[in-house]
Amino acid sequence: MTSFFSNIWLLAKKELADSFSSSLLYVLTGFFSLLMGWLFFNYLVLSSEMTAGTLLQSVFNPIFGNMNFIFLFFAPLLTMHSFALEKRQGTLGLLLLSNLSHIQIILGKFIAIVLSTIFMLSFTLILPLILSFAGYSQWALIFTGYAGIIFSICCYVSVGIFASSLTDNPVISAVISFCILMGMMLIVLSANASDNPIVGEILSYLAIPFHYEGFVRGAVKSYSLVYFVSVTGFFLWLSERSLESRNW
Amino acid sequence: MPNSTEAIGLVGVSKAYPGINALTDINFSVSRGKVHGFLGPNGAGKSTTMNIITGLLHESAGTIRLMGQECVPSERKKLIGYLPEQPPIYPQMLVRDYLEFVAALHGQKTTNAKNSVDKAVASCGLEEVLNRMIGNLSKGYKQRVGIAQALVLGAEILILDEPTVGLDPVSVTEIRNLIQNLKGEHTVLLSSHLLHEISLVCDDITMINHGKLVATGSLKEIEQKFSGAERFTLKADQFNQEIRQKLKTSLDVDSEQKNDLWSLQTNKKIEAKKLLAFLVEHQADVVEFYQDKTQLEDVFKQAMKKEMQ
Repeated sequence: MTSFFSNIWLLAKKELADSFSSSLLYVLTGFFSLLMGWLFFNYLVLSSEMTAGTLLQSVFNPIFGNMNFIFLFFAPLLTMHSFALEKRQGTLGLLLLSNLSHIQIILGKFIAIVLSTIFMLSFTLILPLILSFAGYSQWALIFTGYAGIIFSICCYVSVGIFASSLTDNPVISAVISFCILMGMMLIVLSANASDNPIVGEILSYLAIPFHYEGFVRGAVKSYSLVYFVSVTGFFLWLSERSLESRNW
Repeated sequence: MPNSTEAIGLVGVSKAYPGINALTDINFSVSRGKVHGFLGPNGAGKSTTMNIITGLLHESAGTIRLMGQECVPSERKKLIGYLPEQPPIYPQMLVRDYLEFVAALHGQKTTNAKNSVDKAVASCGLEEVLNRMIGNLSKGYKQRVGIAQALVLGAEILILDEPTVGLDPVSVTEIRNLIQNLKGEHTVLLSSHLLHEISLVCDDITMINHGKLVATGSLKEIEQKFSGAERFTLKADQFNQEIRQKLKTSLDVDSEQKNDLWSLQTNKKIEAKKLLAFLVEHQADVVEFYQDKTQLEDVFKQAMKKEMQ
């Protein structure tokens, strides 16, 4: 069991080193932090009363909503190289011939990218910290908001990894993952438009925002956890199938 | 039947994709400690065969033996060091870090990994570039790093797919010397388009075309089997039209002038001394006469031609 995780960490460490030595992560982090800071400032100025309840509703809820939306674009960029580049530079064979199983390779890459995005997110922790000086103290809601965004990111990254396993072209990979993610976001429109309440409920359940919003409001439902874990697991499993198909 | 001197054995190996047979009934074996050349034109199925032997691809039919034991793909990948046509290198990594990473990928613990990396570095002459970024190295050095990663595993069997492709003549010689040094300690299956290189390095060869085996055996056996023409070079003062005509009618030898030399060629087996005796008897005033060594390139072309027929 230890060897299972140490193999995953071996690859994750290397992937993290690659990410932190590439300019892409820093450019995206800089852009993301700047955007979040600017949005935070604007929402704060627009907020009429500075009470804990209104700050949550008029500042943090939209901030978390925007974060989720931005990662819809960032996740394909962060994941597009994961397998596409390995194929292009001929190193995928090196990994496939190693002691690592397919699932260990996929999890190694998944963990590294999720940790990279957590690094990006960590800069936004300064926002609630600033408000804490003004007396804001609803930390549980901030915690569930961040938990929700991390669960969403896990879904996005798993989709991106799957898309990257299908092609050796990073741009095509980014486009595929963006289309899948956009589709998962837009399901909510079909849910709203549906006349049949059961179909509407089912479609709502399949849409990421439906579950994410619960986390932001502090209403963490067990079915939302099941949804995030299932979607992430499903796309990681598809990635494994995609790697396996190379043997044949 | 498997034998103790066999490092790699392919028995009836086939690979089929929907609508196409990439490999059909491939049978050959590679002896331990030898360098075995693997030849074939582009698209012949060399890389597919090599990928199957390493376990990267699964065969549709047939069996593969390594060190006399029948092995499934997951077992094969642990027993073979593999350098694909494109060296599997991470350009942003330092040479040492990369080789240690490869050793760790194959489950070697820190001390063992360090030892095997040091050994591979010494074998491939990488001491000078150990702390340099791979992306900044010359193509020759990148290829050496690729061979070093195949050695790090410590496997007796090495499969090298076109290790000299795209290299300058100096680097080609260096890689050739490196492969020759590996002989004995390692069994090497080597694919290359440089037939001259193959003839210099390899003991045995296997040729495939259109996914089918054309020939396999020692270099000498293959040369004998496929050397379609015997060639001689002659320098003579009186090699006139009359003698050339007689040579053609009596011994079926064609002659062609190249500067002040004559190239004599026949598709029949003929001993050099018999031909020389004929020339002396007809007073051609021979100054220089020798038999041209059959080039592997000729053998290869002849084999491919026969296979096509």
